[in-house]
Amino acid sequence: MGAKQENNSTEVNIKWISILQLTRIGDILQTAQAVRLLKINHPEIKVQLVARKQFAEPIQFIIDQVFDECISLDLKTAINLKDGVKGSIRNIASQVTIINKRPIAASINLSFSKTSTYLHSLIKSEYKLGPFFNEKHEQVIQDKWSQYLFSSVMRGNLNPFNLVDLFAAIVGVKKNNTHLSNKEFSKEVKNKVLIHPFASLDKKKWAESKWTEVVYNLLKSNEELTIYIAGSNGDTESYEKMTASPILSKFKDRIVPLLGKKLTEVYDLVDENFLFIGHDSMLSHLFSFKNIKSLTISLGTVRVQETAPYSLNNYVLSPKTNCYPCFPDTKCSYFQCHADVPFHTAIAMAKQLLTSNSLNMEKLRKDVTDFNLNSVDIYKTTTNNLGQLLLKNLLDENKSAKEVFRDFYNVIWSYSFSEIEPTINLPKLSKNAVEALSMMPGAAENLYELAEFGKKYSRFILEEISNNSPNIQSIKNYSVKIDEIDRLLDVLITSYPLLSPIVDYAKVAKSNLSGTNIVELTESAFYVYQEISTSSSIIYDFLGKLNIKKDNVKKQTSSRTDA
Amino acid sequence: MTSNENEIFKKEFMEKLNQVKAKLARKEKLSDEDFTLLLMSSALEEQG
Repeated sequence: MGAKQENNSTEVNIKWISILQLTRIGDILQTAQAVRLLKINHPEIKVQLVARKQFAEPIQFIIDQVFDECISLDLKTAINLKDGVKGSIRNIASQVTIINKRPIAASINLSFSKTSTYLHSLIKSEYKLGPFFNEKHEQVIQDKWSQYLFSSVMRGNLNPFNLVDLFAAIVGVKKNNTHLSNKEFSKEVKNKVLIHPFASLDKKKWAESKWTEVVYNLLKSNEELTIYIAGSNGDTESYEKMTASPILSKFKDRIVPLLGKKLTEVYDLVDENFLFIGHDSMLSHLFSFKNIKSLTISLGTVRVQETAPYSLNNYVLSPKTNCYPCFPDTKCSYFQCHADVPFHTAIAMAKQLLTSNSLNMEKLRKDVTDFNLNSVDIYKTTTNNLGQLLLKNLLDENKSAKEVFRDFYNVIWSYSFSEIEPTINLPKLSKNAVEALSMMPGAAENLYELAEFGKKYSRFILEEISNNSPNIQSIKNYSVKIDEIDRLLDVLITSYPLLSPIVDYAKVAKSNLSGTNIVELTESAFYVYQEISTSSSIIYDFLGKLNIKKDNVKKQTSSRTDA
Repeated sequence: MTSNENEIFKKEFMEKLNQVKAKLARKEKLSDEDFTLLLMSSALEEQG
């Protein structure tokens, strides 16, 4: 009896959280990595995953390892002509009932689509993190990390965080422990390569001819090597184009197609004898669960910092092209970023990784011409003091202005949202970086002044409201001033895009102000301007520490070398 | 399924959706059923 009571009380104390991830397989895998972090640090929490059936099923073997329960949504089947509108609504409602079958302490929407936002509204949880619609059909994002995610990911390339770390931050993981490990899974000498040369967008993948060169050169240089090429059935034509080249005719018996194979088969096949080479894709995330040695070639829309596979000591090759990374709807007839990543560089890197688990940059510089290295960045995945995944630039120890600002933003967001401080070392700056940064103290000052004006007019509104007989016209006038300030913030970031994450975040935060009346809403607006003001001060101070000050900019740029 | 059934589904769906829109215009609070319909609408949009 006593034992039974104890079991009951344990059952009562178990907290369930529900995570909505309705996007594709790669996103589910990144979510799974974040939940691994949660489980290591909070094993007592039970986690329910809500995902679309077609994306969850292929990786059920990973989901089962990480989550306590998976609800596979099947909206395609639920909505059908036979059941009619009423029946379809009933079908969807019954799937939602399964999600709500037990008390949910917190629901977390990580997918940011309209469908997931509606679904989130239907989940009966005590706390909601990530977007949902309230009863008035207003989209609401209450937590700061989700507001940040919404404002930054797939915008520019100033987000310093890997998506897994962002997801973990939204979930609220304090990373005292991490599953990231420096212990190598792969053998030093490997005799198999798995290539995944395909991607969801043409922008994100090399033309077949480049992959033909990679396959040819690797097979030619190593008689023991077998190359497996993975893809879906839909990639068959591209695979045939890639392997039809006469230069590969001698090597056919060492090229193994893995098209349309179940992911579980591919996952089981790839062991410590393998090197993985591919574009940023679901497979790279899948193999990060085993820490297979990998080389990711990132092109087009891929933001390396956000989507690098979540494992340590792996490598990313990306272009230095000005327009990289672009956006899915950016029109591009000639993929300059593809041309800027020569296959020679990828081949030289792969050859080294096949005989060693790390790259020797001196050797690489000997093997590859300067011409082929000048147009690329090569990164190695590592972590900082907070356990956040970072990319270390191996080719250039001098940081660019963007890299410097990414570091600044890591400190600003980590501290503002979680009160944790990443350690950043004072960077060495390239000449171009010094030049680009030279105008930023002034820009940070302008941002600070605008934020202070925002605070001032918010305060005026609060003061006016607190009067015995508030003057409505005055309140309106102050509101007009605040609108003007917001417009000027937009103008400012057009001239100084390095500051755009602060303004983008403030916009999302302002559209999600907490409060139910004008006083509370104005107070919240005041605090948003306060955050802008604090962020701009931090940037100003950081620039000062790099000796980039408003007054000695000219001296700085003319006297400083590339050091 | 015939195109006729498709039309009936579409008509009934649009009627229900318009009812939700009218509710929103009247600034009425949405119910779970309304949200389920909106979820369905969004899912159909995604399916093209």
